[in-house]
Amino acid sequence: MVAADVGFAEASWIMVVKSLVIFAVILGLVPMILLLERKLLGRFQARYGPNRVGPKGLLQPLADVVKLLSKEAYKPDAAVPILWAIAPALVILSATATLAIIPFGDVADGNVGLYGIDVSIGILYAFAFGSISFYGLLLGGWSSGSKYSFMGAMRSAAQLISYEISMGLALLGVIMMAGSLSLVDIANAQADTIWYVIPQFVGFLIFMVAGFAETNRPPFDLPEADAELVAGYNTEYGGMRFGSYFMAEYMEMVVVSGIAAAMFLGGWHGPGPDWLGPIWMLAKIMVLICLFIWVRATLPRLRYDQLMSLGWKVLLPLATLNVLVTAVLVVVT
Amino acid sequence: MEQVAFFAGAIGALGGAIAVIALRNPFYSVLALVVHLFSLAGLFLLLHAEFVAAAQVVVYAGAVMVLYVFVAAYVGGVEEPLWDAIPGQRILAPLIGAALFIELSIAVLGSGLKSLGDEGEVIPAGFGSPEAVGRLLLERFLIPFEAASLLLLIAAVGAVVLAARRPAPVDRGGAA
Amino acid sequence: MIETPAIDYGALSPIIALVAGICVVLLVGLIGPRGRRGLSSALTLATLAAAAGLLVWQLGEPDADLVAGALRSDGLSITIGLIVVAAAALVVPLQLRDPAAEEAGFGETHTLLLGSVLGMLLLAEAQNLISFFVALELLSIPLYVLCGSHRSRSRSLESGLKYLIVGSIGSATLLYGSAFIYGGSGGATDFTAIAQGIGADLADDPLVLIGIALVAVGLAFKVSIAPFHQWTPDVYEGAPTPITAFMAVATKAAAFAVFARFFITALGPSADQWQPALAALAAVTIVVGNVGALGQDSLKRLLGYSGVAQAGYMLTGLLLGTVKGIDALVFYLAAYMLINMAAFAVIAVRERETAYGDDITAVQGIGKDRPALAWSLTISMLALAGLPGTAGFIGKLFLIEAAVAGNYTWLGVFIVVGSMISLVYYLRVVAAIWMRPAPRLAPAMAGASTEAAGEPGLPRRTGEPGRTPSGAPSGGRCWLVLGAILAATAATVAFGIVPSPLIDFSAHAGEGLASMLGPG
Repeated sequence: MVAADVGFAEASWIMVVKSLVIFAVILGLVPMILLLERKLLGRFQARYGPNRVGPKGLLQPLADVVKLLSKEAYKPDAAVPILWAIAPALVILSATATLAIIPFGDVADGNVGLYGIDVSIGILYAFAFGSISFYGLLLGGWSSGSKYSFMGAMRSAAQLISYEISMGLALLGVIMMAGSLSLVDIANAQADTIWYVIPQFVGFLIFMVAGFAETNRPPFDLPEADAELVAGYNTEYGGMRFGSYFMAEYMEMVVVSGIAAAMFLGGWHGPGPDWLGPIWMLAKIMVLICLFIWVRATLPRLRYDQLMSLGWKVLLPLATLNVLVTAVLVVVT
Repeated sequence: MEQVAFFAGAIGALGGAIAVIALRNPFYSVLALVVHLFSLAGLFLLLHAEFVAAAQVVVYAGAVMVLYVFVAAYVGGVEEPLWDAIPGQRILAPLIGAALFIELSIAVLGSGLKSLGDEGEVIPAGFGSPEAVGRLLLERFLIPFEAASLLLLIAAVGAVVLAARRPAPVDRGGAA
Repeated sequence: MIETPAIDYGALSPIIALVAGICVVLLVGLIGPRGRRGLSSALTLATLAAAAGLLVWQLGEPDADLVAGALRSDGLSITIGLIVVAAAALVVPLQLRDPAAEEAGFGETHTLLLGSVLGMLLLAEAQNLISFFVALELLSIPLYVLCGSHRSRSRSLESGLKYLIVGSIGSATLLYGSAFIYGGSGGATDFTAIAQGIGADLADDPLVLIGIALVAVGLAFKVSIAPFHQWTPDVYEGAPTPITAFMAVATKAAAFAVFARFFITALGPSADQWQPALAALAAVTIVVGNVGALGQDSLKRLLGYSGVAQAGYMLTGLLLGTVKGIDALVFYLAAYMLINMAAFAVIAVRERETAYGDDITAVQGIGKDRPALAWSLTISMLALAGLPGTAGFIGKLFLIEAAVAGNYTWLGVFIVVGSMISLVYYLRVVAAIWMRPAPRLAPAMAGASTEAAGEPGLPRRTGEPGRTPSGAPSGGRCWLVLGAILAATAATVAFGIVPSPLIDFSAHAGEGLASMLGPG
């Protein structure tokens, strides 16, 4: 009966293959982004970046992964055993699960959709899993039994609450214009008209700012502000558990970029034949990720009170206003 | 498959609920409540109420419980007083609870309701989607929906009244 | 596209007026320091007056189902709505000098008050489970806050917290019960649909019965029926007095309205099952309330227990399920509103004038220096006891008459016996007013000498609560308050001697319910 909602039935093996492909692609993407970030940061700061491992430093991420994997799984004495181990898994779980709704194309060849799933709740699915990732951060910080971790976790909690509302409201404008929650429908709605980034420019800006905050990226990286908190909520983690947090952050970057690309930048639509769709989507995601890196290199970290007042006093009213105006315009036209 | 999912959800929901009241550390209680809410969301999914499940996770687990966790993590670790405010309630309360449980079991088992035994109604396409829920809220249940929005406004005003900074002690001389 | 349900703006107008009033009062409260006492009160009164006017206009209009059957505007809802609005209107002048309102800000207090009134109006009109529950919460949540709004007094905070916890349990029980009824009636939320769904087959089905029982318990919490009344004295005592007055009267009216509508229309098929149960509850309530009030020195606690007993009387009118019973219930509610508002207003005035709080000492010997207050309180007490010549007497007479007609003569006997017991404590207050000398104790010692009084060992924090902001003991000289007290007292006596206007008024309620039952 679940299939009835999708409109066509996919064989279960197709679903398995799809999920494996998506996972593999993104998993392969993360080290590349890592390298890209370090290289770009180097250029921004007028230095080379990593260039020792492999030709031009291309094997650097591999070396990093091997290093993390081979480290001892160390657990501090003060940590709460089970929660401490579960927390990184929650973060990875939510980041991976959210990948499923990012569309790389429409239904191709009759009955295979080029996306993980197209649920009726659409974008709400991403928000639902976003709330799980919050528990990953908070539990990790709390259960470490260290004050730096705890402070970092608390900061991330406050930050997530403050920016999640603006993020949702920013997307509401697009949802109203497209009349659907499904990312596939929204991307398709932009095929005939202009990309929603033009009419919903304010929404796009708010979404991106909130997205930076939700992924704990600079300039909103207060939860892991290394100058004051050592490394924030993951201070006490080492080895692959730390690696999980690290990887999740980059996967969330991909997710936010993917959602932004699908909702504001026309998704997989672009010039050229249809089969270019997934490539277009990946290109858009990469452009947005470069934006993430660029901002990291450019802007200094916000102070805590600035973070809060920006979230509640600027973004939230602006997002509400955007929703109101859009609602009026949608009804009038 | 559905049975497995149902029992997983049901055990999670019941276990979480029991843990909320049984655990001593408030932080764990809150976490148990989170488990409970996620399990409920799973049960909603089984009932094809996708929107309700998502709303459950986003609103309760994602927003409301975050505040709970926040508070419990900050002020947690306060030992509960060990004395009973009402003598004998440790004995009485389980007894009454057990009585209610037996009563409910009798009610459910002894019911002549036909739909309890069979597969239930056939679910129409689009059931539980955001569109269907939105339609219900704006058509059938328009008044309760609007009243709920007012309720939230009033509750916000109430929260401000209760949480606002205390006025400076006594000296009300100037107010008259 | 969305198909908007038909909206009868005329029948909905009292509610619209209240919503507009809430927004205006809330916004006006933002201007100026401390929320503009006078302006805010005047706007609140204007809102209530508008709502009352529109309600009276609707009294003449035909009964109607509103907005997809969520609400029903009929005699019952309009009469109860008028009682609630009148109670709120009497509370507003009382709040003018109230320290709690001053502390919380008038804009906020009045917004919350109006919000509660709105909830009550919706509750009285509710005829489906969803609007029922939302309205109940809209009624309760502002009251929780208002009870705790005197934050510099720990008693008030305690009262708010207690009410919140107990009220939430009541709401949860009710919700649980409605879920059973929803399931039992085959997924119906409308009251009439529930009656059809239950029908004759499921009238004594255990699943439906447990739903009915849980709903009854939830509502019993709200109207403080024994044994679900334990919160009542504590909350009544701790809450700021104007709020206590409002809560005692208006909550009861609205909750009884929905109690009657839900049980008689939706659960009508199971009437044979719930009638004896409710009758037993009513009998227990009458006894518990009246016996509990006997030893009370705190006037608010005393009135709290008296309120429990009155709830028992009113439940009698409800459980009969007859037109006559509903008429008697609404008559009693109207009379109870007038009497209680006068009594609580006198207590509030004395609370501000003396250092004794709501202890019975505060009214000792006021016969000499404050004859107006003394007479008002005396008449209220006698009316609560049901002495002839007051509206309270007529109300009880109707209730007993309805009970006898509905084959519940023994409950009528309970009412009579209960009233006799109640005379003991009501007359004790009257005796204190007229026959005891005014206390000469220094205020600081008063707290210590009256152990059973509100705050044993806890000195009244503000030192001299009797003093109004200016420092002069002029709290009671507020003419608006005195006018409200006298008006309520005069009405109590007037309706005791010439009850026909109030009888005609309450007759609308029975008609309304009968019309809802009629076609289904």
